[in-house]
Amino acid sequence: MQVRDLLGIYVEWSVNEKVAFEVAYAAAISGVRSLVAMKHVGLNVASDPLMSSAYTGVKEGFVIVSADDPSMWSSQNEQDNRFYGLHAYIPVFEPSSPAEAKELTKYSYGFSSQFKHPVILRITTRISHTRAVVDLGEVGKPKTKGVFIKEPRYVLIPTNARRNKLELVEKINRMVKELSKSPFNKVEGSGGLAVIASGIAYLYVKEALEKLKLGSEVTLIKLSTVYPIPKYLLIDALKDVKKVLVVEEVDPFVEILVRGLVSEEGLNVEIYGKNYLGYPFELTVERVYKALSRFLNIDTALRSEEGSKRDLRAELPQRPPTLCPGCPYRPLFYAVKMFAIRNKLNLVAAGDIGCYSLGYNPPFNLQDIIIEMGGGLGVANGLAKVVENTIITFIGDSTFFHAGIPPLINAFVNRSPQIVVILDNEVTAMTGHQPSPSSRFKDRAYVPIENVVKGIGIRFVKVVDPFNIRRVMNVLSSALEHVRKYKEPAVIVARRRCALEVMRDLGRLSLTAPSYIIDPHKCIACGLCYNWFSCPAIVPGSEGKALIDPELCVGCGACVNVCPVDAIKPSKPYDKESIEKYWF
Amino acid sequence: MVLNVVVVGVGGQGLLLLSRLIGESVIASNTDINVSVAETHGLSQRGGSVIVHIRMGKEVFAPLIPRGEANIMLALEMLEAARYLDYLSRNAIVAVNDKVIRPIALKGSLPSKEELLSALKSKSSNVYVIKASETALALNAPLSANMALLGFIGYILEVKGIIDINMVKEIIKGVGRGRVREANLKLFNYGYSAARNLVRDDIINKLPY
Ligand SMILES: Cc1ncc(C[n+]2csc(CCOP(=O)(O)OP(=O)(O)O)c2C)c(N)n1
Repeated sequence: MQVRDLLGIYVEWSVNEKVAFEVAYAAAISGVRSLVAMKHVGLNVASDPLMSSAYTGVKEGFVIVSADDPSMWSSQNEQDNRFYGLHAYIPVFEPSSPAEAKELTKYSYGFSSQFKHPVILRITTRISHTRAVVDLGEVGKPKTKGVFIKEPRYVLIPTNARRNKLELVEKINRMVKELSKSPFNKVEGSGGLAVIASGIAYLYVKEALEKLKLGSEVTLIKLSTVYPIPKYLLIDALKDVKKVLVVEEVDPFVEILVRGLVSEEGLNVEIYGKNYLGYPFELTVERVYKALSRFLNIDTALRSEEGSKRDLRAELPQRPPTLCPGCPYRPLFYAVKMFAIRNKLNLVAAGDIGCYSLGYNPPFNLQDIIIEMGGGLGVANGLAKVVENTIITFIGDSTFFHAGIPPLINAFVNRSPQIVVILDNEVTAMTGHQPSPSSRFKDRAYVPIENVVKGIGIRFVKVVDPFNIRRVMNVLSSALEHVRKYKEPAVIVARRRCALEVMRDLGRLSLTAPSYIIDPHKCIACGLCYNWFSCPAIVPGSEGKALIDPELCVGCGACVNVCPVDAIKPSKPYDKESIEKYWF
Repeated sequence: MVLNVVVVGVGGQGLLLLSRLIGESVIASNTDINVSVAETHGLSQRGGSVIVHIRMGKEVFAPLIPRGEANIMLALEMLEAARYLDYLSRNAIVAVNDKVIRPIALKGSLPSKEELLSALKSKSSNVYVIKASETALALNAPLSANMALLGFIGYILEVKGIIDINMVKEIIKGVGRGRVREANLKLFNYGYSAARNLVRDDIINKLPY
């Protein structure tokens, strides 16, 4: 059972973060508590309504969850979204553990209702991607229906916005007083040396202090509400302190605010922070330990620094993530690569974010630019105007609906010659199989991508099955001709379902396709399948002949079309059609 | 004291499920122990190198295990076991699946199993090779190899008094259905017996917690 059914609340996967923000905001201005969650870069997309939401305020609790990604484990940058709070006049809370994330969310609702103002809950990778014990409390019956009361504050024409701005400044000042008393900030220990730890940094500091066998000799200031900075708490906590070290993930956000506070209040405190910890990447116990030792003038080495005998890690082959066995993108990239080689095309592939970003890796090397969701199509518009290369863009279905439609319209109206390949696996695969508007899930309407493209007026629109490599290459040929002749975009929709989705469906029905095998008598050891097609299930065996690992093969049969001598076949006969239909 | 476990392998081998089940088993068996399970890579790491950090103890702070402090490593793949060697504490218990997955578009040569094992053994005298993949494939359930490692650590945590093995079995029954569920239990038992036969109790008793 899903949480929404359990609680009787409304939940949706919105088409992008800006829309998601607006949906949740609408509830909050109609007196219904709401939450909108996104990764850090999502807040860039939603930043326009974010700024305005502070001006209008809300009627009921409105919590904006921003999941930041220090170290960029799965992101294009490691922006620190606490600055959005400062920028937009919205308070920022930062939990120190998964359990506190729950408590702080509850607190955020109370706070947001009290001040009739949005709240940003900033979490980082180690909160988002950690499972830990969380005690659940009672959940009351939620209020899901509200009333929108018309007020000038929601109409941000200049006269209203100016009035709102005055109120906004006054609200932030009131919040400082309240947050200085918040139970989520606390001071432990005492002494002239202090550490301020915000969010999860608190856990790293606790562990490092324990390793250093230090406890109450240091003043430890835990901050879980960082903007507006709890001024009165800090003034009090720092009154006997000579030196303070600020420990936080990513940018010196708290550090900057504390520097401001110390200078404003004329406190006599030396401030350390990023100069000891370094700027980039997430914190680790080792990193905090080193900074603390330096700050406290203690000379100690950690066990891990004992230097192992031989650095075997450096000798091991890298293992970048790969497209899954059965992934429809593999034959598609293979076809594009072969097409480019055969036609001696000097391609620039404007790429995008999704599983297909993996096309950057060898052997395909078909993602030359990846900057942000929807960015590939937009950049291709400009490239087509200034460079001589053939421009091809790749964009997934979810990303197309997220931010790909405006740049495609732009390409059409401004006549930008480019081949646009829309990779429609009918799901948002990379982030965990959320529905995309092209998913045929029950309870949702769906949008066939070609209808959108045709609706724009684009004349070249073809839908292909990426497993059919020969047809893909033919369609690429005619698309190239069209682009060259008419100087306008040509769109190819490559449609086949994500292999993981298909495997899951087959599993539920207790259906399996047999794995495939290579006939060693036929195999000529050309290496096309393992070097160029590069399915993880196909490996070189003796004398360069191919072998299929039955543990990894999912029986998709895509490699059959790659083999020039027909050496690949199912390990046992099966009713192909009964399985095949789940792929579409 | 905190007991630190790293789980390593290749994305798609079922590491996250394995780690989640370890965490759930601890919580279900023992109410006054804290456990945290931190994955360094999300779903975007299919086919890539993955490490999960599991920490259990009365009080657990940082979600990430400092290098040199893992007491147990469960490895579903040998190259990955070697890659994360520097997480191991001296004489950590290492259970490694007898399986090498060749990275795609490999440049250079692949180290042999012997080389990888001797690298592991240079760090610990408690390295145990488990035929998890082979056993799973024989049961026609290649994706259940992870359950053998659950059985392996299940035995160790049972000896330590951290988990109740029957509770773990109940939890496993909630995973998969039909044939897969049966294979899961068989693999779990295989790993459990392997640990019982291979790992001496005095080694287990030396583990922290
Ligand atoms: C603004 C923004 N929001 C969300 C994400 C996270 N994200 C990465 S890829 C992706 C969508 C991938 O879906 P799709 O384009 O259909 O490709 P697939 O993974 O299915 O191949 C999302 C939402 C992001 N990188 N940027």
